[in-house]
Amino acid sequence: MSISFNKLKTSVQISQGSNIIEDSLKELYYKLDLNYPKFFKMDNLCKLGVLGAELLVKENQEILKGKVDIGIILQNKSSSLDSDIKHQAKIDEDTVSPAVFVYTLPNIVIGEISIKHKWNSEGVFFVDKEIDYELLSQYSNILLKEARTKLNLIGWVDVFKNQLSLQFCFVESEITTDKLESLLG
Amino acid sequence: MFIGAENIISPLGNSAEEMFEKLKNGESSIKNNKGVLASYFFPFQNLLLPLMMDSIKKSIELVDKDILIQKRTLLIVSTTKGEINQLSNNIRDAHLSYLPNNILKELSWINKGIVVSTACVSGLQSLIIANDMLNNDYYDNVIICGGDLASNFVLEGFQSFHALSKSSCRPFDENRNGLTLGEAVSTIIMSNNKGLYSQVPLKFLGGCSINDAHHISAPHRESNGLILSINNTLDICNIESTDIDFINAHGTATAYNDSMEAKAFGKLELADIPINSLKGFIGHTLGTAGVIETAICMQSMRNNLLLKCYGFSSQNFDVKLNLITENKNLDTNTILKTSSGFGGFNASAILQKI
Repeated sequence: MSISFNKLKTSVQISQGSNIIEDSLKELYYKLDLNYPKFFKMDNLCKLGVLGAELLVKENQEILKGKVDIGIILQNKSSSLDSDIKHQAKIDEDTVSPAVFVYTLPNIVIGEISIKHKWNSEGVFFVDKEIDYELLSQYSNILLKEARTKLNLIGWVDVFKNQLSLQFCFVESEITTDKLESLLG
Repeated sequence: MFIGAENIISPLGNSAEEMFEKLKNGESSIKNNKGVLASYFFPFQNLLLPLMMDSIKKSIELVDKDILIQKRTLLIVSTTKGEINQLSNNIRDAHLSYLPNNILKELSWINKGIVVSTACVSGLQSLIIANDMLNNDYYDNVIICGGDLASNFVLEGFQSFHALSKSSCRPFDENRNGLTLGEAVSTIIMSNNKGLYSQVPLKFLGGCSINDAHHISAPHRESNGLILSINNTLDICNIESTDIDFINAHGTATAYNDSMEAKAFGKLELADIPINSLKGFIGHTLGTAGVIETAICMQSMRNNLLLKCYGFSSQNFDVKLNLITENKNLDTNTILKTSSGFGGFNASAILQKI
């Protein structure tokens, strides 16, 4: 697994090839000293999203201070297909579990991040073949311009089988598509 | 922004008017099919895309198509599970982007297609996003299509949660004991141009979707997320709560959801306003719910006729809600629509007559 920040550490990228995804996520959890037992109940998409948010939060305590109006605008390619396959396998084996089924929605990752940080604000999850910088920047600009949020967590969080990728950033003011691309890319 | 050209394709019919006529006559589409209680299409529909395509085309027939083609038009697909029945045999089609990509192959004049997938609030949130996009001049028209099937995948999941009702669901009733699934597709077209529509449109004033940061599958006990959402929406729309004539709630008929909503409406002093849930008629249609229920509300506004809360007979909430028990003629100028869902999402929006 590789993790990289931009210069100001307001954006983070995580990617990995063929390692066992559970091991990589667990390793990062311990490295971040998270002490959040709920983490182990989550599916891999939520684990990745929560870790990505944690990396950014740790680096940006100052700008987050006193803010709860933090919007979350995320996107991915695989929706919750990684958990969908697991739920389908449970159906086929006649061992269906609510603990698996509840993760068969992509927006649950926004719920998990909101719960972890007690962010009581706007959130939306988009799905597309690839990251849509234009859409993400447009919606972020709308929320900030209309003062519906004070800060937005924007990005991409995708998990399918052993492939994962994450690009997250914090944005405090209106941003162009190109600027967002350079921040996340 | 303007909102109109609503279409519904459901087990009760292929247009919003046809649907409304049946609901007016107290018809529910929830039936027992081989031991499973749900609102199913008959004949059985395995694929979502053809239904969505059909619904979108029927909505487009209700507008000046040249304006859609010449101006900047966005498509928003609202779905939770898309072509979930393809999961095991063709996973490529089970990707949610499969839907807008294929719709745009046929309707190539649409500038862009996106997917919003936020559980049961997907539909209402798609309308809110459409309004936001128009208000901020990123697009001139937005076609919003909600679609989901009552798949075995979802049925099995809700069953494991013990969330399915043994009899047809009873929103807000004291004896409610769970939800009933439904399937349908519904399309609405929003625009900055009143002249787009062949029938007088309504106005969508605005809305928002707020996370309650409490639990991924249980609603907040004090209804904080929904209260914040409705308060923000009133603020965004510059509307006083006393201006609201009617509320169409989420009302899934699970014990926790309906209590959470009742508590929110009580705390917001909205309890005296006539209120219903439509899920007793059509079941919980997941990603379609916010679109189809708004489309039915638009029919209510056009006809000045509020539908009864089908399945409801008596309540035992701390604050008594003004649930509609018989269809009611009322000049309905301003309405509040709410949706809540897994992930802690609470959406609300306000529509008004021109």
